[in-house]
Amino acid sequence: MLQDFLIFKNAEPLWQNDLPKVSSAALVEKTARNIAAGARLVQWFGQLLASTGTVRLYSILADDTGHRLGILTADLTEGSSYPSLTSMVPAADRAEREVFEQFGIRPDGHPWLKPLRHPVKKAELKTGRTLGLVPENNIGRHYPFWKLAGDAVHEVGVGPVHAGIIGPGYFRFSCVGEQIEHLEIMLGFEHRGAEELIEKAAPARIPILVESIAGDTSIGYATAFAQAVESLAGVEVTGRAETLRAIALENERMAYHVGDLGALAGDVAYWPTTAYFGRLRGEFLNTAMDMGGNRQGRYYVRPGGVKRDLTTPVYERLLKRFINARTEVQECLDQMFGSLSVLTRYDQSACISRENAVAFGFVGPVARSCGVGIDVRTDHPTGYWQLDRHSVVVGKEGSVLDRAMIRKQEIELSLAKILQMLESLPNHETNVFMPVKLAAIRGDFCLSMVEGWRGQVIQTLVLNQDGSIARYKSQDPSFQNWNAMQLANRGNAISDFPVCNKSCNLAYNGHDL
Amino acid sequence: MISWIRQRAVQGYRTLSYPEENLELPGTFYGRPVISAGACPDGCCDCVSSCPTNAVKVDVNVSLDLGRCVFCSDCVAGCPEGKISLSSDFRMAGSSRESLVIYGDEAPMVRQLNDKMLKIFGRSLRIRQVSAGDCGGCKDELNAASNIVFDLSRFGMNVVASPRHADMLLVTGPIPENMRVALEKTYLAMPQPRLVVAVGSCAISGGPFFDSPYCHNGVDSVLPVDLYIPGCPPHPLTVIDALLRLLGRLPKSRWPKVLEQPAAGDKTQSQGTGKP
Repeated sequence: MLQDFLIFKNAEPLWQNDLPKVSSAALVEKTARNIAAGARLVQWFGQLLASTGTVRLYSILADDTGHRLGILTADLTEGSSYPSLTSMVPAADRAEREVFEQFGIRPDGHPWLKPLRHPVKKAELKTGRTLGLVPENNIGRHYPFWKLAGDAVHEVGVGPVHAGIIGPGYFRFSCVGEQIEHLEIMLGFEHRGAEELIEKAAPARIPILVESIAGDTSIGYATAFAQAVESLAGVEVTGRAETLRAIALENERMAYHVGDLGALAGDVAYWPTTAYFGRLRGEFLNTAMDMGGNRQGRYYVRPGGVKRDLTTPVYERLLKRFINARTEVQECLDQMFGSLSVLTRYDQSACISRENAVAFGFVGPVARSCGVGIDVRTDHPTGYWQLDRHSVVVGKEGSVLDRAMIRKQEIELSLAKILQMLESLPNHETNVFMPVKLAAIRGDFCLSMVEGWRGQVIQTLVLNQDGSIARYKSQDPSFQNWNAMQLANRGNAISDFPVCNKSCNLAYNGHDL
Repeated sequence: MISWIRQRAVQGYRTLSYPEENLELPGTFYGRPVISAGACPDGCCDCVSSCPTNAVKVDVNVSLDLGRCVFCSDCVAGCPEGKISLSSDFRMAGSSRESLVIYGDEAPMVRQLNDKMLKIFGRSLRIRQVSAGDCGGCKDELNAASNIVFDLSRFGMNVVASPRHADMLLVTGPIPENMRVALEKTYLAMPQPRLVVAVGSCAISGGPFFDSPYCHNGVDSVLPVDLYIPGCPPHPLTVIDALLRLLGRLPKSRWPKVLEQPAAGDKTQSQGTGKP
C-alpha cells in the first residue's frame, strides 16, 4: 500500500522540494491504484504556485492500519485539465469540484462537475441596505439539481434558512409519497473565504480565524493548527500542555455528543433526556470556560502550548465536576437507551452501508457507525495519544441507532479517559505556554490532523521561505460526510429526516470555509 | 415510568434564580474588558498591535470596541502597563454601534424600547434566528439560552420557526454575500414592527472575518439594527441581560454601570419601524 507515495506521519514536517512529483495522469492512476489496494483518500487539493503560475495538485492517502500517510504531487498549468479521479474514487467528488472552483483545473470525465461553494465576492455586486432590490447573486439560481422523472415524484425544498437555530444549507428532497427517493444538499451559503483570509492575515489573527472556521470544534481546529506550526518550527510542547489539550478535546467531544443525544431525543419527543442533556452539556462548556476562559474553548490552544495553566482550585473543581457528571450522564444515558419507544424510532432508520462508507471516504462517528473503525487517536496519534491507547467504538448497520450508540459509548470512554488524564496530569512545574512563530525551520509542508468530535480535522500548512503562508488547506470531517447525509436518506421516510440529520450533525461552516 | 419519576427527582430544579437574585460568573470567565485610568507611556501602543481584530485604539485614551473584540485576552498580555483586564461581567450589550466603544469600566447603554413598542413586545416576544456565516459558537449559545438552566421562555421569549411569527430577528455571523438575500428575505417576511439584533462580534463588525471579500462586515451594512450583543460567542446570560434591558424588565439593581450617551446622531437604531 502507498506504493510510489512519499511516506510520512501525521504532523511530520516535510520539505516541498522533497515531495515526489509525477504527471497529472500518473497522479490519478497511482492514487486510484492505491485506494483500490486499501488506502483511504485523506486530502486532494490544489495550490497556486506564485513563482511559476502553475497549480500543484496534492494527493494524500492514509494507510490507517499501518499508521502511515503518503503524499504525491503533480504540477499543472492553470486552466488545464486532467483525467478525473472521481469516476474511479467517489470519495474525491467534492475535492475535485473544489479544485475546479478554486483554480479552474478541470477533471475530465467527472460525473457531474457542479458548483461547490459558489464563491461570490461582495465587490462584484452593489452592496448596502438595498433589501433585495439588488439582483440576486447566482447561488442556487441555476444549480443543476438531480431531477427524478415521473408524475409520482414531488420535490420538497428546505432552506437555506431552517426552522431552528441551525446553520444554512439548501436541501431538496425528491419524494414518492412519504418516502425520500433522493436528497440533494446545496451548500456554500456560509462561504467566508477563510483559507484566503488565513493566508493573508497578520500573525495574531491567524489562530482566531482557524478557530472560527467551525467554532464548535475550536479545540480540534486549534490543536491541529498548533501541531503543524510546532512541527515546522521544531518546537515540542511540554507533556502537561499536551495532556491539557487532550483533556480539552475530549471535553469538547462530550459537550457535543451529549448535546447531540439531547437533540436526538427531542426529535422523537423524549423530553426528559433533552432537558437533562441540555443542562449537562453546560457542565462541559463550563469546563472549557474554567480551562481557557471561553465556553466554546476558543483562545486556549495556541502554537507552543495552552494559554492558561490549571490552577489547583480549578483542577479540583474540574475533578469534582467530572466525577459528578459520570454518574449523572450515565443515568440519563441508561434512561434514554432503556426506552423502547426511543430505540424503535432509531433502529433501522437512515442506514449507511459499509461499502458506501468506504467508497465515499466517510470519517468520524458516521464511518464508525457502519463498522469502519477509523479514528485518528489510534491510527495516527499525536500529542497525548502517542503514549495512551484509545479503544475505537464501531457499530454495525450505520443506522441512526448505531450513530447514537457510538456517541453513548464515546461519551463513556471520554469521561473515563478525562478522569484518568486529570489524575495522571504531569504535575511538574513546567511552563505550559511558549509562543511559537510561523517559521520553516524543520520543513515547509505539514499536514496535521486530530480526531475532533465529528471526525478527522485536517489542517495543512504550506509555508514560504520567510515563514509566510503559501497555502492553508482546512478540511472539516463534514467535507466528506455531507455525502453520507444524502445517501442515508434514500428510502427513508421524510418524517425521519430530523433524526437522520441530528445523528450526523454536520458542519455547514466547516464545509463552506 | 418509575425511572422517569426518580430521574426527575434526582435532576431537581436547575433554572437560574437570576435576575431575581444576583449572579456572578466565576473569575475564569473572560467577560467585558475593563480599562483602568491613568496615562500610557509616550508612544506605546503595544495593545493595538497585539489585538487580532483591531478592537483596541490608542488616541488620547485607550479605547476598546466591544463590537470588534473577540475576548481573546491578547491585549491583556500585550499591555506592559497592565491597563487592560477582562472582568467576569457578562453584561455588555449596547443600543448603538458607537456605544460599544468603551474607555473604562462602564458598560454600553441599552435603551429601553418606547412605550408603544413595549406595549406590543414587553411581555411576549417571539424570536427568529438566522445564521449568516457564524462559526457555530453563537448558534450554540443561543440554543443554550433556551435550555432549562437559562430558560428564555420564562420571560415570555420564545424562539419560533417562521419569520412570519417573529417579532425579533437575531442575526449571527459576518453575513457572507451568499447568505445576504436569504437574510433580507427573512427580514421582509416578518410582520412590522420588527426588531433586529446583531449577536456576536461577527454580526456586529465581521469579527474574526472583518474585511473578508466574501462578507459584509456585519448586519448593519445590510439591515437596520436595534441592539448589539457583543461576545465571541456571547454568554447566554449576555443575551438574556440585553433582551431584558431592551424590554425594560431588568431591575435597575442588576444593571451594570453604564456609560450614558446622547441619543442624537444615532442613525443605526430603527426602533422597529423597519425602515432600512
